[in-house]
Amino acid sequence: MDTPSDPAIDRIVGLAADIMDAPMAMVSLIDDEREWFKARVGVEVDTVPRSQSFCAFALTLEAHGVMVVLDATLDPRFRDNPFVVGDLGVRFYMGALLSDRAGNNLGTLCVVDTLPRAGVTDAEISRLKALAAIVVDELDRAVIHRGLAEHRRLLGMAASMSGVGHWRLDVATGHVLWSDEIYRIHGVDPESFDPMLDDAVSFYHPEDRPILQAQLAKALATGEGYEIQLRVQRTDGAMRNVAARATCEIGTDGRVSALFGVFQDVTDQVTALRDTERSRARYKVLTEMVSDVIARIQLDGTSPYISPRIKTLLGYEPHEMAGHRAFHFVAEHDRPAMLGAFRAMAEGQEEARLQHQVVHRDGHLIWVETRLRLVRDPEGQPSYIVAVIRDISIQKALEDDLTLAREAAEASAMVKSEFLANMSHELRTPLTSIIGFAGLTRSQPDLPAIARDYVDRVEHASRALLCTVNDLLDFSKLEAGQVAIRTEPCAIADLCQATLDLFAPQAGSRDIRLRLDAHPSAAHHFLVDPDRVRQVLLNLVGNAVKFTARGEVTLAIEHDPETGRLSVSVTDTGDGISEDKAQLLFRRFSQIDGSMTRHHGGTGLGLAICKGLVEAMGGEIGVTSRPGEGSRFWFWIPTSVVTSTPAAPVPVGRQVSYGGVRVLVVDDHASNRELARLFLVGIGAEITEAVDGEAACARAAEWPFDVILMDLRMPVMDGFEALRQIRSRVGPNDTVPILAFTADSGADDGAKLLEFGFDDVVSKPIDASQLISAIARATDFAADLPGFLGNAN
Amino acid sequence: MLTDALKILIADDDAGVRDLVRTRLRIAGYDPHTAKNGREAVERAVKLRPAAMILDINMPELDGFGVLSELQDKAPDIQVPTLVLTGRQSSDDVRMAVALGARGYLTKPFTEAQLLARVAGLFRRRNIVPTIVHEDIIEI
Repeated sequence: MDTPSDPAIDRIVGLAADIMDAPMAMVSLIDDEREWFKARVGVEVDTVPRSQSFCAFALTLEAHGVMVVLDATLDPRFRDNPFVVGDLGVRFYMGALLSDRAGNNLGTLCVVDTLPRAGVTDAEISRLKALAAIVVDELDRAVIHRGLAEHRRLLGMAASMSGVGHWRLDVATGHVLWSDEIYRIHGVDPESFDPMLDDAVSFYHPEDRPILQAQLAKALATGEGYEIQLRVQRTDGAMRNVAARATCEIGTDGRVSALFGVFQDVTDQVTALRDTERSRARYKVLTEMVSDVIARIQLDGTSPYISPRIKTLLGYEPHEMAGHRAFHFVAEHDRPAMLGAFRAMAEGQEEARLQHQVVHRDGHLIWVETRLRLVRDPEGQPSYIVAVIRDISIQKALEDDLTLAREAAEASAMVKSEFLANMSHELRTPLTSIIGFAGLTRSQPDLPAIARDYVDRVEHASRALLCTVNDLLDFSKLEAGQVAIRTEPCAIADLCQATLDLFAPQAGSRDIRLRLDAHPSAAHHFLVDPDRVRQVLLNLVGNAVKFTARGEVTLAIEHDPETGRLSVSVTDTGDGISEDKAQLLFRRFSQIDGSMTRHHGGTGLGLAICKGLVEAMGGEIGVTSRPGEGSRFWFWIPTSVVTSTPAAPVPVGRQVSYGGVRVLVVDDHASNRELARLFLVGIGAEITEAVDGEAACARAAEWPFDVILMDLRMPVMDGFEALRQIRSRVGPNDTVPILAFTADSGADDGAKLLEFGFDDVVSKPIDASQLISAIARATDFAADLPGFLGNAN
Repeated sequence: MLTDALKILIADDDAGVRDLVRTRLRIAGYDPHTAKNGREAVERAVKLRPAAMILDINMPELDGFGVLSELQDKAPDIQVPTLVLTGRQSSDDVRMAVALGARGYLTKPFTEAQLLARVAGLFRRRNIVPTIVHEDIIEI
């Protein structure tokens, strides 16, 4: 009732007073308690209790009726009315009912005088009635206007929530009108930018501009709209995907006078779509633009407005839903969450977003994402909620599929890697015997030369088998992406020669010549992971020897300082294979020819592992081959020449091996740890690092080491306290040698350190041979036999 | 003369590994004894009271973990320094063995030097545990 004042109605009231020559006139609206003057002339108050209202009596008349009181003092209904007996002294009243189209009486347009009148003419009555009719029209218009304004506001909110804007192009002027959302999408300020057609076109990607211009020209010529998806470059440089829909407006001359339509930033959808298309072609249906349902929901849960799109989503017409509360359509298990969101918003939370299911008319459930936004009344109190509901069933189905696929893949990978790990374990036990007894046999005195040669072959073969076992583990690690590449300086030519030597017995028995073709550019130390390179070489040379009946296997290496590529190739004079089959070789678990595998043995995993390893090192692997002309397997890896090589590792003599010595390196400086690692990995040590004394204690509590290299001064906990704790707590390392790793210890200080409990002192800057001999002295890895027993061999 | 102090119990279900380790240790001067499975390992450990034990993890019936925990239950007074043998370097296995009191591990296959160095580690004793950190040493 208390709607804003309306200048048109104010003018009508003035006109009524004038026509009737009355000092007072009002448009009066009445509810159960009071009379309210929407417009008034000559009256100070704007509300009157209904009990004192003249107009209240008029409301009992038929629609469009007129009530006339010539002298209120003579009328029993009004003679005691405070406005009659009081200062105002009302005598004459004439009110024409304001009746709407349905015949409801809303109030009156009335004139009032302080002097009684003898009568009113028919002309006066019909004039007042005519004016009253105009007031009603005006009130109607205002209601419609307010409804429109509210609808526009609703649309605006929906636009900003769903990211859809609207635009209009005036063909005659070339002027373009953008909604705020479109300004936002382009990243320009509505205050300072007023686009013309050319400006709008210039935002598009240069490749897309001709497409847009062609569409525009076609629309102007044919009057048919269009729908396109192009790229727009924002003022901040960001490229966005946008979808625009255009409809033509036809002028009175029958030609296109304007184009208008909607505009949406669909970058997220396009990105999502690309991702989706990559995984599943069948989800192409997503190319259809998402359409949202918009609803206005009162705080009591009823929905006075639902957009027609609901029919597509739920199968109901909007009016069919009017009688139900919104919760009715939410899947039962999602109602508590929805109720919670509503409560929070009724208490003032501005926004909420929920993914939930809704119930279709035919009973099936549909996944939707509902975004809620609170709208407040002019006093700032929560008034109602705007809901934008999006069908996400496709995304959900995709997510579910992907989850299932991922789980299945993970399960299968786990089974496979568990199988490989177990198999490698089963192979390690017999290998222990083979290698161990071969070693024992060789240590027998008076062993004939021929027997020594046989034992060497057994050892070679068993080491090759050990490599295969390790390959299996590596394969499962490659599958899981867990292979770590550790580079160190390596004389690559020596590595290649050593690999060829391994196959000499096999090659010699079958009339195959093994040849190393090392280019002078490869005669350096290179920064590579020698273990991984050796593994690839073993595979490639092993295959070449295996598949060549007679002739030659050539291992060629070359380094290109320009590209930094170290290229390696293995060429054989074997049978060769056709190009198309050659490409299958590197696939995991693929077999060119089952009979070949049966005849030659092997896991068939070798080349797949090589490919994985070479790629993990950043390189590339391939093959060229022709049936009858042999094969050439090649790979390259990026590397650099090492100009200053560290002191060569101390050569290990006889049976003494540092292989597998486990060293815990404790230092707060990463460079010191790295240097120690570089030297120690060279002698086959396994390194674990800790950054301070506390970390060292933690590692020492859970893992057995053979020796600990301990820096003295470190933050958190120094080396002295760490030694004390490791020695005093019962654990796998409480008797393990601990070497002081110190920058400036003189001879006296060294003695103090030994007195404190350190087993030896390794000084910084680090010296490879000093470090290695200190570890050799401290651990029993240097000696064949336990020191305290003496040499019993 | 071999003394009890050099008695080592080897438990492995694989005869090859058992004999190899026994031979290696005998050559090195130790007094090796063997057990073919976990059950036997527990019995012999209680009877023999070895100075050290080399224990395979993967054995039928009672595995290495079982041996470690049964010995803790049945004979808490004998604390045998133990080296476990694992077919694969599984960090979970090693951590579990350490938690059950093992002092070291050896991955199959192993070299003679690795075996002997780790066994020697089991016999290493320390009496001096520093309790006070000297100021002058900190100043180094």
